[in-house]
Amino acid sequence: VIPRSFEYFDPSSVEETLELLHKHGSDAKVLAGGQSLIPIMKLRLASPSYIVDLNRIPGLDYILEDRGKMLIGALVRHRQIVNSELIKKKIPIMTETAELIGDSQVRNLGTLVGSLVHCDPGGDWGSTMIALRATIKVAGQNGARVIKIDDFFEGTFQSAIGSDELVTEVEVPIPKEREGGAYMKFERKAGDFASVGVACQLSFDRSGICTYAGIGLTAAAPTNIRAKKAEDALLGKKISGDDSSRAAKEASEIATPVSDPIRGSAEYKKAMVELFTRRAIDIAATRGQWRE
Amino acid sequence: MAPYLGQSINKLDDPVLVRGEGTFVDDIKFPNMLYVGFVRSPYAHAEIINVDYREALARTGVLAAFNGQEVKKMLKPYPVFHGLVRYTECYPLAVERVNFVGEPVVAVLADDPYTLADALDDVQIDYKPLPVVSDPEKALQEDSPLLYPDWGNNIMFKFRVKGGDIDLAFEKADLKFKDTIEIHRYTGAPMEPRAYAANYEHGAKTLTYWASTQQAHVTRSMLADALDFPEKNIRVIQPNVGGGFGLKTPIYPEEALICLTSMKLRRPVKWTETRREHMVATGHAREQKHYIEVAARKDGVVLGIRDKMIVDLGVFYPSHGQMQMFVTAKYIVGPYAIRNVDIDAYGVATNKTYYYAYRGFGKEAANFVYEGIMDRVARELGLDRAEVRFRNFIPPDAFPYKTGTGCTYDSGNYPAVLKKALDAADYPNFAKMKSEARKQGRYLGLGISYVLEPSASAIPNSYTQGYDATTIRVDPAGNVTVLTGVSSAGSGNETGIAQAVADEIGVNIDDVTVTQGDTAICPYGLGNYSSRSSVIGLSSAVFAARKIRAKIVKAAAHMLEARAEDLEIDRGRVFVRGSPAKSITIRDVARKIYRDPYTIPNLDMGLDETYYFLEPNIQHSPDEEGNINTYPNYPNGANIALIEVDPKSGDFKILKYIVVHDCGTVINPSLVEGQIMGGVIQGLGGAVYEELLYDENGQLLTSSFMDYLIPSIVETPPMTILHHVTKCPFTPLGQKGCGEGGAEGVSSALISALEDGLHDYNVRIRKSPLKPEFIWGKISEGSHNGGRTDT
Repeated sequence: VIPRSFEYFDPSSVEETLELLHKHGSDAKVLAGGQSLIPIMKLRLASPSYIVDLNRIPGLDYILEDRGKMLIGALVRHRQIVNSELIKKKIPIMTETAELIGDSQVRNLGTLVGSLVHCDPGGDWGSTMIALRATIKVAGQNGARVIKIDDFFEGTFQSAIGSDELVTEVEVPIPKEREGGAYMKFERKAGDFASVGVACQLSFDRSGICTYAGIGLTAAAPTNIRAKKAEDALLGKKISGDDSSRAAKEASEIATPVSDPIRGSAEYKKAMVELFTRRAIDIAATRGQWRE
Repeated sequence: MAPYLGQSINKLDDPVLVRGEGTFVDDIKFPNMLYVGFVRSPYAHAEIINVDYREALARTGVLAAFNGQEVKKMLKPYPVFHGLVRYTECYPLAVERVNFVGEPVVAVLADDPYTLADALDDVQIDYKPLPVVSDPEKALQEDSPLLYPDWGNNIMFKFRVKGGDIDLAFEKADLKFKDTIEIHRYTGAPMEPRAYAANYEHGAKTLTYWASTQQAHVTRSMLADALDFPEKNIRVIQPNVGGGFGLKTPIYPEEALICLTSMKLRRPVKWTETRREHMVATGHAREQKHYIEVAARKDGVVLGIRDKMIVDLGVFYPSHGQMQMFVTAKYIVGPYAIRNVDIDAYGVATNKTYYYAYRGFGKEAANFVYEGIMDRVARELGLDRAEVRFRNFIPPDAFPYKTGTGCTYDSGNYPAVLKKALDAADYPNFAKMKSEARKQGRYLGLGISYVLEPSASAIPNSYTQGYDATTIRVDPAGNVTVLTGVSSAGSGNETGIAQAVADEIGVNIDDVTVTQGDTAICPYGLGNYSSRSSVIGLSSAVFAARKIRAKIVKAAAHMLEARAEDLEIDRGRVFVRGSPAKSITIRDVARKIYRDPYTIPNLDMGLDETYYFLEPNIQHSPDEEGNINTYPNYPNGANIALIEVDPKSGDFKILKYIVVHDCGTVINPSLVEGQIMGGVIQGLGGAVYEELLYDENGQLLTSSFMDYLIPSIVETPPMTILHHVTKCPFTPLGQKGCGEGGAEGVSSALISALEDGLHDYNVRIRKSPLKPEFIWGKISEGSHNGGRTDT
């Protein structure tokens, strides 16, 4: 790795970090796991003048359950999520997602927050966070704020946070009982970016009616997106094969994927969004024990 | 004791490499070393208008910079590799024009790699873009822009291969068909990319050059030509090499420049290429198109093949890479007794990276063609795919067998090998398994591919020859040093050589040291390519060891007061056959020879022997039909792939991959299995994942591992590897090669399996790579042509 030269800071608190970000603005980049930042610096696609490394800040690597929510700190690695019994028990779709990210080395170092902030439409976490309706906690010198996941991805590699702000935590509502989720990643090979990916989270009432539906799509648009009409096609239904097909069709219709010679044409990717949405719904419904 | 031959002895260099204690070129450092880097062309075809590196030179820590005009004045052009293809002068840096994206234009030297990388960004080059030639078929049209105007057209290599009477074959045929076959461009990606370091010592006028190469001596000879510097003053050292696959055969454009700058600046100079540079500037392979016509009888016997092949060779560069298409043509009949062949071959120059040797060396393309023919004949005639192959095989009693194209196959038993593979796959029961899976909505497919793997090539008037050398020395302590002209790029042939030498002399393998890849120590040899190290190199080691043994026995006979022919040597002890109790050691004998030679009557002094082995089954003078034989050994094997396809996405999974391989005598089973396993994974990479894709402007779209996908252990299928032994009559132990076969049959085995699995959808595949979208498209295409339509 031979990047251009940069100045390196390793602050020991969030406050100190915010001061540095305030001072250096968009010339500074925050380093957490480095699994996106370092490759683009290596290729000299980005050459930030200042690197602000969060890794010396204590207490940012927590996974905590708090009043129906799971709180995930900014330095929680994918590996921690894979290994967390708490997450596996309460939000299994997150375990499934984390296991499919990159390769072992990426999972050991990369962070959930870093992945979200990077805003790569091929990122896996974005879809799962959309399906779970997570919120993002942001700190800044003028105080903290909370951003809904639907407002977080503004464009490819462009998040809703300012250059002097720092994401400190992600808050994930824990699905209610009789829930089922699935993350399906259609990839050319293990560790590749998704050709397309679909996260689907469902909940059911006692009679098997779908009371919650969250569907997020990976690599299907300039950002991770919610398939709202697909969710609507499931809500209030006992999900039949026809319902999942109709929802899958809706998901495919809002998809505007980019053609690429390696992972497929836009036409193919749209067809795969439909196929894997249908499959993800069917698996999620089966896991929620309501599949007719 | 039991011989070492045939035992799965661990690779002798494993402990060093596993602990990370190996020495690769990038590990070599000198205190005053300079780092060289290259500014490469962003254009596929352009005139160089102006080069300005003043800003780079002004940077602290930058020592020098050179452009192509400057370098041309200080070097000879790279020499003709062999006379069979057209030639044009090539230098390390582009002189007036750039011809491909990634061509080196300016070299910069700096004290450290960081300064260097910044300085490379400072260099300003003005280009005037020229029309780009990116499609080899359009390149053949009369109005095409030309890469080399003095050639008059874009044809780099044109030849015809003929055998038998092709017109008569078509007259007699019951079945005739045409097909167009397209193999995509891809290449190897060794873990260690290319790396070189040069150190010129001005006082002694010697140049030492460390190279991640497969051929130390050949590198030395070619450097001497390009530098116009005495070969005797050059020493080339090949340290540990992290994979070669043919791509590390000499000589690349950058190499002479690295040496030249060390000589000019009187400082050591090093270059390690980046992965991105590897993709654009280390050679490419494959990209062949075949327009074939086939004649067959109604019993499935193929009578003749006509083929017009067009190969995208990229830009011209003097290497043996272009010969790959010659090999494809010569072996288009594979293991089959197809006597009538007529091939018209065009190797075309385009604005892409030059063609270079890559594992398979054209044999994988021949396999793609001949196995496609076998499957299509079976389909057209409603015959079993295995049965069609049995009917076409060269029979086991026909060896040595001379093909219609003038190649002499040494030995083989193809029916026995295929039968063993079919048994391992439980072939007779597969149809039942398949229909039961179908009831559960699963689509299984079985594919067959038979691989012919000509090995140890020898091309007339080139550094690709059928000889190699071994020097064996026994020191006064009785230890054995083996110096060979062959080398290992990590494949482990030194272990096989140690096994053979230990057996031949009669010593413990721990007392044998094999040294390779140093021109100051080893006899002149041709290194490692074409699976030759264990064929040619090991054979020379066997003969050298026999000479050493004879000398030891002669001296020991005197010491033991016995007749030489009654002596036996086992694990370092010499004794009269049947009386092992009364023995002396090889150390005793060696000490006697070195310290007390006057007491041994008629002593042939010294325990130091060199043997050059020249493989006899090569024919370089053309026969009556003008054909030559460039390969002496013909290992072969059967591949069977068992897959499950998802017809809705076009994706598929390999459930099992079976290889039965015949490389003659197996020196070390685990080394052979390692070669096959690695080869299959590499072949799988080429069949499905790896693709060098260019756009119409000649830009390479897949220049990093983000887009050039390499299979990992996750994609690696469970494999069953079995051996079958048909000895080679031309080598002392009966061994053939085994380095390439694994990589050669995967595409055709998978196509065969996909067509079988998707039989209901009437899927026909004549093209690679086997990407999910491509298969998905074929399913819908098949549905329109009478196949199922329910996807």
